[in-house]
Amino acid sequence: MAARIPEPEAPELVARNLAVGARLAAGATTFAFLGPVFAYLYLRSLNTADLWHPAGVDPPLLLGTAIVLLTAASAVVLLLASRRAAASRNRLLFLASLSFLLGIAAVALQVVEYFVLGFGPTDGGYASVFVAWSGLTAVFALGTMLWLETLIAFMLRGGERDPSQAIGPRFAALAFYWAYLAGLGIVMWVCLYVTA
Amino acid sequence: MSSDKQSQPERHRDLLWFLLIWVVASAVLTPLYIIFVPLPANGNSNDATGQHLDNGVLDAVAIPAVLLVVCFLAYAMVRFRQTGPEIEEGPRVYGHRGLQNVWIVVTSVLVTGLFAFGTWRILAPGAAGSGQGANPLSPASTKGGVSPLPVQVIGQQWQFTYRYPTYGGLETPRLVLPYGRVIEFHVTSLDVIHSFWAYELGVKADANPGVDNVAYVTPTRPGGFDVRCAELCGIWHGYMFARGRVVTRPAFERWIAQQKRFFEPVTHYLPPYSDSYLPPPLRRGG
Amino acid sequence: MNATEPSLLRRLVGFNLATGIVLAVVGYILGRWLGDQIHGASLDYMSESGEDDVSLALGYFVGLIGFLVGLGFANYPASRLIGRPPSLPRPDAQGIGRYFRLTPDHKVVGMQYFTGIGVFFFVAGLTAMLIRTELLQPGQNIWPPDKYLTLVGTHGTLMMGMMTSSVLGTFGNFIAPLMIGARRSAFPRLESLSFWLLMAAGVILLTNLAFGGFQTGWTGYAPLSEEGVSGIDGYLFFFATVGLSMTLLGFNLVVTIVTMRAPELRWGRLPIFVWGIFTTSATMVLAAPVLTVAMLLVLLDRTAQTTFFYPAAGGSAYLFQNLFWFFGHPEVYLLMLPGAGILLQLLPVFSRKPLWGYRLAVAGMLGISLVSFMVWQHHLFVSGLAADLRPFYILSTELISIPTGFIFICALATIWRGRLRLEVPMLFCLAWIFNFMVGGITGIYNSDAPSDTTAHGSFFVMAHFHYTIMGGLVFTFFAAIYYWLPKMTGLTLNKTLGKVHFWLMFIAFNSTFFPLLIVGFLGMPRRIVTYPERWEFLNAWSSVSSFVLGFSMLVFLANLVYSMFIARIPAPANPWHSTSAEWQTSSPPPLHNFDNDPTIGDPHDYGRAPEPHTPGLQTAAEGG
Ligand code: HEM
Ligand SMILES: [Cu+2]
Repeated sequence: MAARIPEPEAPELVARNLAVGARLAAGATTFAFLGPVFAYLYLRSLNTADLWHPAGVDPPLLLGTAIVLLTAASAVVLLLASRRAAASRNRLLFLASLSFLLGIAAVALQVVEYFVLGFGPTDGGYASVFVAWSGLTAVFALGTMLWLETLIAFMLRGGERDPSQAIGPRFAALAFYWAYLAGLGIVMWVCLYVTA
Repeated sequence: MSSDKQSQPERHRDLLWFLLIWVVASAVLTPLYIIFVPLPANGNSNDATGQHLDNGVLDAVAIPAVLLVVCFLAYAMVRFRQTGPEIEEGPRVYGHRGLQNVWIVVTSVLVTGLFAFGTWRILAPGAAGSGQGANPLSPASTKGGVSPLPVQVIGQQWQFTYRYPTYGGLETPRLVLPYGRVIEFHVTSLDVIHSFWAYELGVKADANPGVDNVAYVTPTRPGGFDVRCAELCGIWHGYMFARGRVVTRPAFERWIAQQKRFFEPVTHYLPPYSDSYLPPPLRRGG
Repeated sequence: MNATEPSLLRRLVGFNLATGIVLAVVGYILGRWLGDQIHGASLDYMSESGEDDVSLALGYFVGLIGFLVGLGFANYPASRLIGRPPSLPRPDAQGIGRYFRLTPDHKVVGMQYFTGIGVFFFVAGLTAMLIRTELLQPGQNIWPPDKYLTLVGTHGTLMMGMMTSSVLGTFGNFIAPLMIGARRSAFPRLESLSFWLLMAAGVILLTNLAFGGFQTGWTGYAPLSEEGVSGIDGYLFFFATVGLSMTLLGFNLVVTIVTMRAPELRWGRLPIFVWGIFTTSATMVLAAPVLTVAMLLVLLDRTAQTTFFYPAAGGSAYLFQNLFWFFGHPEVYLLMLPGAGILLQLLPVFSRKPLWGYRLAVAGMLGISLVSFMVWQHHLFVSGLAADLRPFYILSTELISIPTGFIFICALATIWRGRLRLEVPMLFCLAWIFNFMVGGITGIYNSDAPSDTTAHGSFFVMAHFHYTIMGGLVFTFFAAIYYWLPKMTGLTLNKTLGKVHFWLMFIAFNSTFFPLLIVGFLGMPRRIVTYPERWEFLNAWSSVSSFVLGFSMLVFLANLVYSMFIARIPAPANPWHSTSAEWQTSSPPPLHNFDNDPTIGDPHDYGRAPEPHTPGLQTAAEGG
């Protein structure tokens, strides 16, 4: 295992790296979602062989709405948490954990949804887009939640008391990215559930 | 400018020499190139002739541009080369507003000109032989009344076949066209993407499964032409070629009557003529 | 820093390449087993074909994970998950071992990229020789058509996937941080990850040969890629992984350049090479994810039976072409921009004259990367897709010539009235100007839709992009190697062999590809295993030249081996008399790059002691 260098990074540099990194990651993520978005618009408008959306292929609206609401709530809570990061440790820890649970619940519900889906990936263009888009979102969401978990675990161990370890910028970057991802999730919800 | 050992007139002399060389080279070589390198084919169809003209225009821009760089490099490498251990510094010149602006203006004008030319050429004569999808601009010559001859090109691994909907939906593996009449190719595929390329006619249109891709051409003299597949379509792509023929109208009518007789027994088994042919909807798993 | 030496046992079974390979094999077997279970459980239509793409895809995936775990990439995330504090990994100062594992040292990663990509460049070059051998004569000579197409595809795919990262991975990682006065890069672990992902991807691609090859070319158009044999999974997985690797590479470089510049190094004073790296990286971060996801969608079609690209079931073949070229066109500028950066960085040094029109050059680079996202449908002029939009794509494509022209005028005016020293790197740079000129001009014939009717899908296009990629990127890559390798290794490359290499390569390159431009306009399509006899002369000429071209690469290899391992002549501290920051430290640089803070001058420094800073970019760029 790679031994670690004792000296921590300069906190201002960490903050800048994370802030720039989170924004860049948001950009890259947007372009990653371009694939399913483009497929959605394209296959929908072409409707080849009348198989864009055959009858009987209906997404579970209730579940989908629950997923997007959980995601959005988690993001809002995290934004609140990061705003107040400096105020109170316990409060921050509480909000972060709440956000984590909400986010994980959203991912779990997404998995559940695949099992109760009334259709499969083969059932036309819409079904394909549905599976790929929601799956991609879930993978990104899971990754982000793991990131959040590292910060919570770090705080639980009391690591942020070390003045050279700035926790605020870490939460700020994460909250920005998670909110952005949740926004993409809402776009997905509109496309896949509302206007399908 | 302290280290600049060249005096003003000397500097101008370099520039003038270079410009002189370039202008002379361009004036001599550009026409020679355009006359002696007549690519691609010319005269077999309206499209081929049109593309020939397009390439000529592009050549007239391209050759001087290439020569500009070549003459420049050659001149600079000969004139400004330094050898020996002593390193001498060049003049401290950081830029030149005027030259920069001239360059921007000239390139912009050239580019806009090329764009306008290209757009005109693709809009005016029925898209210059390229596939235009299902809603084509029709060529001016068909607006006058004579209806174009529709020919459907069907790509499949690894052969093109042709349907003549106005001749009873006849399908044949050979392509014969009358000259002097607008041909309306409808290109489609039964499996993967192919590309129908009739080289001497200046026609190229992708064959996509489920898509009707239209291209126009008016053959202007009789003769043979190559048909090749120009999009990788699997193992035997390299063998997907054939010869087509352009013939006179009576010869065409004779040929098609003979083909109809020959394929009579199978023609009525074919699916009815349509823009594209898909296998019946496929539902697996689910 | 002076940690105790780990024991021999620790070093052998520690997290390194050997462990990575072992775990990769284990992971592969595990994944295949898992896939077979799934396959047995549900998708029984597969048993008919005798091929199991689910199992193979999972094999690749779990194998890749195993490889990364074995290299030690899971350690840090795991330690963070249990709440250990964030930290920087400790770089090894010495020893050959650091080249075979996760390393946080950007200089080691640079050297890793150099050798790793070099190996794959030679493999791909070898396949090019085999292609040209087949085309030496008409008729089917040494390969059956499926093997031949696999060779073409492997050549193109490997070259595109690897060479895109060549300059960024090697010189972006190694030199750019030095130029901006940084002591490390912003995300060292991601930087290292990008390298190992690329290597894993290369091996995955080569395994396609064991599964029937892939006959789709590097563009892998669906639905051809959906009906083909299992080898195509290797192709798809390669590009998906490469896309991820490129994203990480670009990500790290962008953040490094944004946040870690020396305090006095404002944007307007950034060396032009760093601008090249920056614009490329930024474009890459956005374009590469599209590639990854497009490939995953095809993989989904092949495994989970979605129908994205399958027209008979609600999909569309155009969809793939759109997604592919939406990545694919920015991609070709990812190949061009770093070359331009090297060119404009090196020309002043060897002309003994400041860079002419710094701001114009920067504007050119920014313009190119911006417009490159708007031109992708010029690859589809004859496809029948959105024909009404063609004028727009003609316009956007030709607009790119304007910023490209900026780079040309800056290069040419820098040379003018300079004191040209025709050293080996300079020769390669001058060759760029010529080759890229031909590449750019032939590009005009492709961008003009009527004349593209003939050019599209023919050898003309093939030769055109070799002029831009090989003639552009690869020539400047060599320029950079001859220029910076002394910095990176502290050893001098042999000059005479370098010149022999250059002239052989330059002449053979043009002699290989110029005939192919003609043969394309005569009507020869790409990717065909045989051709009519009337094209034999040009093809034979090209093939023979290509063998000389291949030989010139061997000359380079000989030079490398001779200079690095046999002669070992130490490089002078500043062999090219440049004042750029990377030359202000020892060669090779110490672990933390600079013993003293470097003097960051201005982008016009190339040869003389930096003047007390008066010019101010404003006057510098516009005066004179
Ligand atoms: C050693 C010098 C090289 C030679 C002799 C060479 C030769 C060839 C030939 C003959 C083909 C065309 C096969 C065909 O379409 O029938 C080809 C295709 C290709 N080459 Fe190269 N090449 C060389 C270097 C490179 C480099 C440096 C790159 C890019 C970094 C590259 C990228 C490609 C690509 C992308 C294709 C298209 C493959 C396809 O059609 O799918 N080549 N090369
Ligand atoms: Cu074909």
